Amino acid sequence: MPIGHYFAASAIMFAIGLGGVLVRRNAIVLFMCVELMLNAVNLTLAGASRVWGEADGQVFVFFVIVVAAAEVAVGLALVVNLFFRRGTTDVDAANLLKW
Amino acid sequence: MTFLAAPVVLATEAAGHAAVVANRIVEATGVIGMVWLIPALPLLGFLITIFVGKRLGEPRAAWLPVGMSTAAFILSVAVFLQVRSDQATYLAEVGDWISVGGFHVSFDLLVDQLTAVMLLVVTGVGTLVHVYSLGYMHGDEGWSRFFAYLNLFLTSMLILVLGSNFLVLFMGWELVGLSSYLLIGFWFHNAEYASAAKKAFITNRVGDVSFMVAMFLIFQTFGTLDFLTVFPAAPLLTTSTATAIGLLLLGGAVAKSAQIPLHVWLPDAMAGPTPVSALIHAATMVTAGVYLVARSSAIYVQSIDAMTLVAWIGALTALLAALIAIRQDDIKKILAYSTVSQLGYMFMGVGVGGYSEGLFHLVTHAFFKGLLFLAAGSVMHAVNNRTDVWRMGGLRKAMPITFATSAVAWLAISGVPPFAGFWSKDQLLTVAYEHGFTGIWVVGVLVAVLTAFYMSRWFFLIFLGAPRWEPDVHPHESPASMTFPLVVLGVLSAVGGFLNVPHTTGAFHQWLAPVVATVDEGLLSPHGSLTEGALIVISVVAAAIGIAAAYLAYLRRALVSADLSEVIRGPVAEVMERKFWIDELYAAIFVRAGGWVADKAVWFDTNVIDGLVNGSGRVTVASAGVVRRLQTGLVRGYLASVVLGIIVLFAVVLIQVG
Amino acid sequence: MIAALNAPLTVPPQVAASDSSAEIILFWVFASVGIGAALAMVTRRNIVHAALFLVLNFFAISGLFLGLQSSFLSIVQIIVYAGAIMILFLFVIMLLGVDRDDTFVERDVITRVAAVMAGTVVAATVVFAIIPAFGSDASVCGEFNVVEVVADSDDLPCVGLTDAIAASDNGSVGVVAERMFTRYTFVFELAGVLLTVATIGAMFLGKRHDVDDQDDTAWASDAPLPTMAQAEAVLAATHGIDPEGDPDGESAGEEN
Repeated sequence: MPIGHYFAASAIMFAIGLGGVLVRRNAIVLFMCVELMLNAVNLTLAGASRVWGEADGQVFVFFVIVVAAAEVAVGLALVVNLFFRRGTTDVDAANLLKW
Repeated sequence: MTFLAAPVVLATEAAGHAAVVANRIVEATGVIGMVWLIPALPLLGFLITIFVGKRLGEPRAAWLPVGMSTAAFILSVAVFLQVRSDQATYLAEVGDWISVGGFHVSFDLLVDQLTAVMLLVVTGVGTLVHVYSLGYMHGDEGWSRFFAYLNLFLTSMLILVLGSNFLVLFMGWELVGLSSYLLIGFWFHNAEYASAAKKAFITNRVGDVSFMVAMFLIFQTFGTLDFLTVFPAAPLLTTSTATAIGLLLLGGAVAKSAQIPLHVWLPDAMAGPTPVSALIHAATMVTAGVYLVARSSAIYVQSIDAMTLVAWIGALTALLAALIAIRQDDIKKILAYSTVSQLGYMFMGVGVGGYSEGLFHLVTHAFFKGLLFLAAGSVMHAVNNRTDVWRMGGLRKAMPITFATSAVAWLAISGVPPFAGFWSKDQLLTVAYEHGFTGIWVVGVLVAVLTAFYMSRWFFLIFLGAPRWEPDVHPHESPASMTFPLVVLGVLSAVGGFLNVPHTTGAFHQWLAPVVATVDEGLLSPHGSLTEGALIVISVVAAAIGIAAAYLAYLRRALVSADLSEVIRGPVAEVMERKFWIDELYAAIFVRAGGWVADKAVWFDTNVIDGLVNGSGRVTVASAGVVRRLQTGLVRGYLASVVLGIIVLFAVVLIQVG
Repeated sequence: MIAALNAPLTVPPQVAASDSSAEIILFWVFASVGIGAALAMVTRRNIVHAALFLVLNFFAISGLFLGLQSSFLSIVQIIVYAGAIMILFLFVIMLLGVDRDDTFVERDVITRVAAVMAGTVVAATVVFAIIPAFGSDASVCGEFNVVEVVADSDDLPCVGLTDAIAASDNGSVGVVAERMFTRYTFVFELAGVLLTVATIGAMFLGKRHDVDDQDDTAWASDAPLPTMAQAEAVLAATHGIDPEGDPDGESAGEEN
């Protein structure tokens, strides 16, 4: 299996996540699309690790997962906060920093 | 245009045709080694008095300035004695001043015979005026300020006469202008007086521009501004350059010495206190122009055209001022125009090549004009500061000392022998005649008649005849502090002429001979055949005619009735009284033009410059108003921007790689 | 390593390509499932459905990890991502009660089209820029699938992790561990700190503020701090704990 196929799959998933981020307005779904993007990148990194024959890529993936976990924890706490202040999870409702 | 006929050679000895009998140039030693103290002491007096004088109050605040002035006088006498014992040009180096590129000016002081004369006049009359002011300014709330400014003036004038190069002279030149401004506008709460001060300063500035251009030209030609380099090298100048430099220096002198066309500030300067008028506008500052021309004699003798112009400007000024003086009614204004006229005489003298004669008249004029002004101040004090001569009269009984000394001064200025003014004026006219300037001589004689006339009028209307003063006036003699200087100057006006009795062999002439240039005989026109004796007789007759006419016009009637009025009337008198409308002419041309330019400048500043500044502010605000709409507050919008950026980055990378 | 890659391509020993079939099948199945699940997730209106599709996507990616010889990562992916992070998502969805239809979808057609285009551009860029370098048979990895390398092709070779795994004592886990605890120890520690910080932050941010933080104003009041006796009394009343008694609490008799 040429390694490029893995990269292609990863790119497509990244693009799907990107489109989702731009289109969806629900904060939680937005977050999930971001997770999708992160995973696609994880896939690329693992593939790169295989290309080089070193484990560095996998270590990188490990840490990405750690960071993603932390980010999700804090981010969802923020989303909860947003919901309690604004009564909705619509991202467009958080627009107080408007000009 | 070639500036020099031959390359400049630094010479301490005259090369080829010597225009000046050169002094030896010597390092300053002895008292002259400390000659820098002479301007430094009054400077110190000024600095201290201006800061702590207010607290010291009257009269303590005046002691230091008077003391400094006296000390400067004593030092000047010492300097004079040293120069007399060993006649040479002494150079006292103080230090480097400007050193930029090829331009070097050092702050050096030069003492020679001419300097010694000027030092004595300035410090002598200066000290007398300081003493006089102790009495005159009594009770004035600006007591300490006045004495401080007087000291400042002394410093400035001393720097002017002691300078060894044009730039130090110019520094003193400017400083006396400043001191004059401060002192004319001494009672600055009066808007008129403040205006007069401004007028003096501005008119002087016009002349200063001319002076500066002269300095530029001198530097361009000689590469330096030092007297000791420029004057020995003057014979190498081409005639056109010498003329140019001479005319430009004349421009500066005309402003400072109140000659036509820049004489307009001097009569208005009478707004200052009378001691100021006596010191600055009679004896010292206004003579700075004459000093400049005399000092630069080496340059002037190279150009007969410049000399002629100097002489004629002096002559015309003398005539014009005398005509105006005839119809003035203010005690000080008459004297002011008389000063302008006598300065014209001095310019006549130095213009025809009679440098020592012109300077001699400067010295005697300092005596009798200074005396006249101080006497005027004394009279004003006696009549409650009134200045209208028609409200005076018969003061001789009430103020005998003032009367006697004023009589001496009157006779001196009218040219009556054996008083000082006769000798100086006559010698001046003689040298004009002998150097072939017959027209100048004629004008000079005419002005002598007019001078005698209006000065006699002044004297008769004030001191003789029946009293015409107002009921609240109780005239009295002035205190000793004021009469003492009068007496001193009176004595000098009486006997001072004998300093130079035989014309060309007198002490004064011999004294100054090494430092002033002599005119090349070949340049002068041939003169008439009158002998010197005949010329003396003509001068005396001129004085007699003037005095007699004044007697007939004023005294004869004044002696009989208190009901006196002006005899000279009619349209001609009107012209004279209105000062030939020169002030009005200047106002119409220059003041209006200047006002127009100022208006345009204001418009430019408010609209263009402020517009630029405000405009940039407005542009910033406007653009911010547009740019801020990027802040939509929508998270997804920002995300979209990020995505856009990513795509752009991809494109850039791909283009670079691919 | 870089030198090895830049060295002129040598012809590696020929090995039969028959072992590749397992990997090919694995790849295509999991890749299509993953992409399909991703598409489904993005387009679902029911949030819970979307979450579940994401879980499916994570499983698919885990499978792909297996194909990439990163067995450790595949397990970690399931445990952490699918097992913890998605559970957290579902908890939040439950907490907020937004499990119903999500009406918050971008209705503006232009934005949707633009989004799709953006995604396409990004994907296409990657696919057409990077893939050619790695897309041919030359980039098949390691001893699994080695084919004859055409000498003048510009495809980059793939080393593969087989050697590394074989050389390590603990298989693929050992490979990762050896790298993580030697070269990346500091980063590992930092990751621990990060997690701690995130925990504290999440705890604080998730607090419910009913009365606008009025509990903080007790510090500003003039009321004196409770004494020890008062504290013991409170303990005894609320928890039935006798402070004089056994520290293990066995002497606590009364229940609330």
